[in-house]
Amino acid sequence: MPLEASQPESLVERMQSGDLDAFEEFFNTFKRPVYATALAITRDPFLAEEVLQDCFVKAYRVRERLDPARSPLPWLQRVTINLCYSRVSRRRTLAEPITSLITNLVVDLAARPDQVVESREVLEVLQRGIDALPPKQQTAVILYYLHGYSLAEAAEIADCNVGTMKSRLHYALKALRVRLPVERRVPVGTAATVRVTTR
Amino acid sequence: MSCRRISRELLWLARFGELGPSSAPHLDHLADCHNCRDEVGFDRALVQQLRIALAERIEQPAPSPDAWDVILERAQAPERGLRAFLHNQAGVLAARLRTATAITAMALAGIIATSTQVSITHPQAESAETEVLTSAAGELFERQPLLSRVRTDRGSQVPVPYLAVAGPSDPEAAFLVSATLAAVGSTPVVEAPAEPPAEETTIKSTVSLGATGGGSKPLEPEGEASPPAEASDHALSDPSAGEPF
Repeated sequence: MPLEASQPESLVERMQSGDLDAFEEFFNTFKRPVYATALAITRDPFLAEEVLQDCFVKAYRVRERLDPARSPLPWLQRVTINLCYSRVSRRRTLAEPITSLITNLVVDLAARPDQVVESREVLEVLQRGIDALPPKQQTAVILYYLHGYSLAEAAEIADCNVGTMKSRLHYALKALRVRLPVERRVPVGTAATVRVTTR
Repeated sequence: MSCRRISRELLWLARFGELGPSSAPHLDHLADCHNCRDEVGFDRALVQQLRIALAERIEQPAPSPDAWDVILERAQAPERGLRAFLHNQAGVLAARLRTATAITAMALAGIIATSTQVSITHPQAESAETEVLTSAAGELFERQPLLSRVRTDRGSQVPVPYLAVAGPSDPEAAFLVSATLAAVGSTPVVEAPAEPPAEETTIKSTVSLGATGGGSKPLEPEGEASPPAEASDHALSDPSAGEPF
């Protein structure tokens, strides 16, 4: 969801006047990106829903401070990210969600078995790598690669400049790349031979 | 440019979609270098896999239908906790804080006023007084009580000179005290230690109190306390009299 196109007409103003219907519209407009961010960080649907509730309750309580001229989505995303990391740091370890366990067991039989196994392994390594990223790099990856925000939009949400956002993405990819085994560093299905380069 | 540097720049440009006319040298290198092609190709594949991995994390992209009811209930409920208490009691707390600040400021001002001491120093003896205080004997002398001289004329506004009970053991301080006393009174109370008189030097000086009404103007010693004329003249003619000790 682009940041600028997601602002319904006078929605925040109506919400500021205490209109609960406007608040419901506000919730329905922004619940998906907020929930997606929470779920991507926590990997736990229940925890993500708690974060979503906290985020919108907070938005309602501080509605007078929201700027009607700007989209509230960057603010909502920032609150969501902060709530997620405060809760995740309390739990310290992330529980393995049931959905991912099922995904691990059920594979796409239409693909070739060897490719499925390779792809599954790479994805697992990447999932663990995303979990192990520092919060700022993890946020950058989620905003840029999951939500598809532009660099400027992601930088606005993360409250940094574009150069910093680029740098965070660069180091995040570098860290993920290092986690992959050497033989997996060649794209799956694109290389005929495995080449190990020494530099 | 080295292959490694080109590869790094290529990765940077390709990741953020910044390849353009200015990156022609990089693209030329890419056409020739197999390693760099592998690097860029792997980076693109990594990003693809990363998108898939991220999408797997949000397989259920919407919250449960009950979420809105819970949010509405929580939003309309009165706020609890420390922040809510502070928010509700902000006016009362601010008033109490103002009162407490005013009382504290007044108490502090009172403490400062009562604990401040006013010291009376000789208006013209800055360097000499400093010199006396630096020595132990001078410090001892400074602690000795002073006796006020009996005032003969109560009606007139005259300064009250103070005399030391005993002289300091430091010869230099003793010299200063004797010189001052000689200038104030005719009978010196303190005798300098028995040393060969090197040179008769007198410092003309007065002690005045601002509270007596005389202001800051140095008053002349009265009557018999005036120093001999020849001593004053000698002091004025002595080239070393005005120099610092």
